[in-house]
Amino acid sequence: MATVKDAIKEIKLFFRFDLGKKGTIIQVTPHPGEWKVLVEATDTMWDSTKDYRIIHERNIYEVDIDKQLNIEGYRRVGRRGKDGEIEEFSYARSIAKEDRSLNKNMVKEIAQEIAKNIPGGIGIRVREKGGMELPQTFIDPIEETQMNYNFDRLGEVKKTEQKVDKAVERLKAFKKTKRK
Amino acid sequence: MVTKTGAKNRRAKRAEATVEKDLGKGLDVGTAFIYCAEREKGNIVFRRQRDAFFNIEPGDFTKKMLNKINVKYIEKDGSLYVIGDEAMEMANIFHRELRRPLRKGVISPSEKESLPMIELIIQSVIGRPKCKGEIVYYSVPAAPLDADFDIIYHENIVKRFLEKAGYTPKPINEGMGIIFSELADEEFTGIGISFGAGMVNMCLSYMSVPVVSFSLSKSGDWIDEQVGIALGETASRVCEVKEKSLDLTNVKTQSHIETALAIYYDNLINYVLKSIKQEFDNNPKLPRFTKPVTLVISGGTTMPKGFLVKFNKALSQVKFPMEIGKVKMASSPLHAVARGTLIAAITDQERLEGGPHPSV
Repeated sequence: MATVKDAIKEIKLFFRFDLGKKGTIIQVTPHPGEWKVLVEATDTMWDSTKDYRIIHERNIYEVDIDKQLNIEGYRRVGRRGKDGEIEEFSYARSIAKEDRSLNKNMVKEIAQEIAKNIPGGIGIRVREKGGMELPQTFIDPIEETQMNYNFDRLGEVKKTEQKVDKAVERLKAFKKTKRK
Repeated sequence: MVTKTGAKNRRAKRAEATVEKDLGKGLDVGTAFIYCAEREKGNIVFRRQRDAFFNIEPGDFTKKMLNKINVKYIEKDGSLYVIGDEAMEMANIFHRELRRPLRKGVISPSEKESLPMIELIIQSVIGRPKCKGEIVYYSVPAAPLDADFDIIYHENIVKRFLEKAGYTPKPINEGMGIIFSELADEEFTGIGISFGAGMVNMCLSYMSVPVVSFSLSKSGDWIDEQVGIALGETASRVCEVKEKSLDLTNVKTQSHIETALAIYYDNLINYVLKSIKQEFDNNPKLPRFTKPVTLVISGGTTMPKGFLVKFNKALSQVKFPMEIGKVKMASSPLHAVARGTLIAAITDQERLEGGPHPSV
């Protein structure tokens, strides 16, 4: 069974790789068979004058993730205003009120994970009009790039007479035992 | 639950496997080298590629010359990058540093410019999958004890590269790779330490289950850098001396670079053993071992003659909470991680197919 730590990791990956933005977990609420997670993410716009994207808006999303770590859905439930306060957050607040039955360990576990995600060390800080400081977000681009190269396969080849059958059989036996 | 669709898929995959042989590959993505391990008629074949670039002035004449002497290069955005061992040779000729896309065991998020080149190199080392979705296990470092950087980013970038190439990629801890490779006779119980270029990775395994694992950000590159700073040499030059001629049993008659290397080797070994002891001492979940535990060391940084002697000497000064039995060098220190990842891949692949492969 997945733990809350796994769920947080999965959601961070979902934001990073599927939505292409960094998500900061701000709240996790356990529900039967799933967790509801509030994530603050930066929706960005392209700044053609520089080689990076700057933050346009910091939105709050609610993500439903089940105990098998399937993302069941996500929706925007609020945004952080330039004064730093969260706006249109009424739905998310109601979830927070439900959060009374968390046991101590889970609270600790969640707190530790959230603490790790507090922004500050990410990128350089840039100043926008309006006076609010926002962190710069680096994107992970794996762009299709035009490259020419003069090889097909790389690597110096070393052929051996080593076999791995014995190790494979033993490892399989261990994995079988663990399954039982 | 076994569904009809699932069974159909498995049958199709099995049919595909009877045509293609020796499925499953292992990949050791290291800071200095990428190693790929696969089987050919039951025997293991390794491929080794130094992951380093050196950029030179582009031009048709240069490219013709490089083609003639069979030097591999990539041309990107108007720049020409020589890759592999030749890049290191050129860096030393021109007395400049190599460009290394991986640092301290991971792809740095700031290396976005070279990501397409890293992708191309990884895919060219591993080649095409023998069947759609062939399983490949790739090594990843454990979380570092003495540094704060993103292992997840690295793990997922490599995963993406391999998925794009048509594989089913699965990450495995580097130290665990050594355990799979070297400790089958000890029921996959013991300590595996990989002294790589960027990091030292340690894993304590009990019956094939990793119990404690972590990495340290000092290793071979750190030694090269420190010696380079101390002697005013480039790290690439120090690395070349280390790889070609260092003998730790007899440094008195050697050059000043080798003498300095020996000093930093001592420092590194003591640092690693002290860190392992601290982690073991502070870990309440450490299993009680009824037998002495075997310790295996591996990796490029262990290659100089006399490393094992130095290691044993330092180990005798440290008391771990469990008794250490045999201390051995991996059967092939440069290939142990790749071999271990291959064992993991074949095991998974055969379980998927429902039995040993006919070619094994």
